[in-house]
Amino acid sequence: MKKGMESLVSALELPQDLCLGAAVITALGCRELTIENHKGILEYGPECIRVLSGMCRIKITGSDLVISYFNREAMKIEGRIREIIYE
Amino acid sequence: MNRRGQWNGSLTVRAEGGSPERFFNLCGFHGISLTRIERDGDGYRFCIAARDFYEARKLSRKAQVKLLIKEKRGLPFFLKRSRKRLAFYVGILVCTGLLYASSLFIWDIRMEGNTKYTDSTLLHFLETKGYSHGMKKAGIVCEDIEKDIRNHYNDITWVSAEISGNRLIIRIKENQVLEAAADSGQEEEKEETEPLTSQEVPDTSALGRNVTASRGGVILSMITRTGTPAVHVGDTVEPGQILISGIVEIKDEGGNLLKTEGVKADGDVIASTTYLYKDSFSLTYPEQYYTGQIKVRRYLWLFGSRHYVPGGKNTYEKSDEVDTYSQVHLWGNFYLPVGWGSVTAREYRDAEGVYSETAAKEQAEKRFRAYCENLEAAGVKVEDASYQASVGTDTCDVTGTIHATEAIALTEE
Repeated sequence: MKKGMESLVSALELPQDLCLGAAVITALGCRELTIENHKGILEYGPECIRVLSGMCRIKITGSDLVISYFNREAMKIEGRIREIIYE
Repeated sequence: MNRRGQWNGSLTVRAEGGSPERFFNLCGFHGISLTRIERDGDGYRFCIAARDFYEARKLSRKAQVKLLIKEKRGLPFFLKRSRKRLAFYVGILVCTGLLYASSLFIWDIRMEGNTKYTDSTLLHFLETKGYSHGMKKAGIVCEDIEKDIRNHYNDITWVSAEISGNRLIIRIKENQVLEAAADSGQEEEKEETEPLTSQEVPDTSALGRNVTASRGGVILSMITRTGTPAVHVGDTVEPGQILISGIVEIKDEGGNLLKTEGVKADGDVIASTTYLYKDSFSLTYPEQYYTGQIKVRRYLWLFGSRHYVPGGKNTYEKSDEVDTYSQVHLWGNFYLPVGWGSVTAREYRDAEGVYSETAAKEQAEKRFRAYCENLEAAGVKVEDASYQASVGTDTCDVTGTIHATEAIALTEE
């Protein structure tokens, strides 16, 4: 069902963030990251933050990670970011 | 913390135990924004708006998280902390009241554009008319100030008075052409400038008004709009001579005069004129030399009156004074009735200077040029100018001739 929906959205060239709830990730260098359209925090530590999105889980690893801003629509992570992993 | 946080108040809170991630997600879901979420030992520390805290506390119970307020910031908490400081609030009220009260008065009168009349002269005149520092803004009618100044000073041609903040700004334009002409002190050839007596000018008021020559000269061009031309291009005219007659003759087809009609003659007449320049000035002139002695007297200006600091009084027999003054203002044109300044007196002694022959000739040239410039400023086009200066034992005499072109048409009143 989910795969079928993805194919349909892809075929019709519809925006995935609106139709599938895909997260929009904006990285500014390796010090700042903004995630829009998230579904919540799964895990939060200074070296690893896991965020739930509509399509997958996003794992951010690094050091001195701090969530400088968090609300329903977006969150902003600051610190030394090493990896962004889609699980 | 941003400006909004300062105004509405914000809290730094520590979250312990339970499931902090779930608590953050619940906050996000309920539209509560959290900032600076940091790990703090085995718990978390974050900032939250004061008004959202009670809602967040309810959510913390769901996530089994314990919230501890670590710091309170912003205006609401500051006011709460200072509620027992009555004098502080009274001070704010008194200060606001004083500012409001002082904004109802004029605390600075500023003059702009005055060169001949000093600020103190004009301020003194305004005081005699009832306008001074510390008067109520409501009692000022700017049009009356403008009228008073214009009526009292003939050579001030334009005045504008404006109230900006608690400042009265008076802008002035002086008639510099008249001033310069009056100051130059040159003599013109009387023969050419003397007005005509009533016997020489024919009384045509019953018939019409003529255009007469204001100066003698040779007519270069002539345009008649109303009336009958009495002279032609190339004619030499005398001062007062009729150039365009105010009498219009109406004739029939055979050239016989039917009647005459009086009109107000009008036209442009350009003539070549000659000015005979004669000037004489003494070779000695008064000079001031400064002895180098200076006395500074400082003062405090409060509510329109000066309070001098003891010492530094001007006891010199002859001196000039420079007054430097600063007034406290909060912003723009909001001036307070508080200021300070100093009066610096410089002693001088009178002496007599003597022009050398070269200096006298330079002075003669300067005066001659000033005369020509005044003529130009009065609308006369100087074509050719020459002068001769002779330096005597006591005086320097200058004679010269200026050939010019100018409009000489003058309509009779």
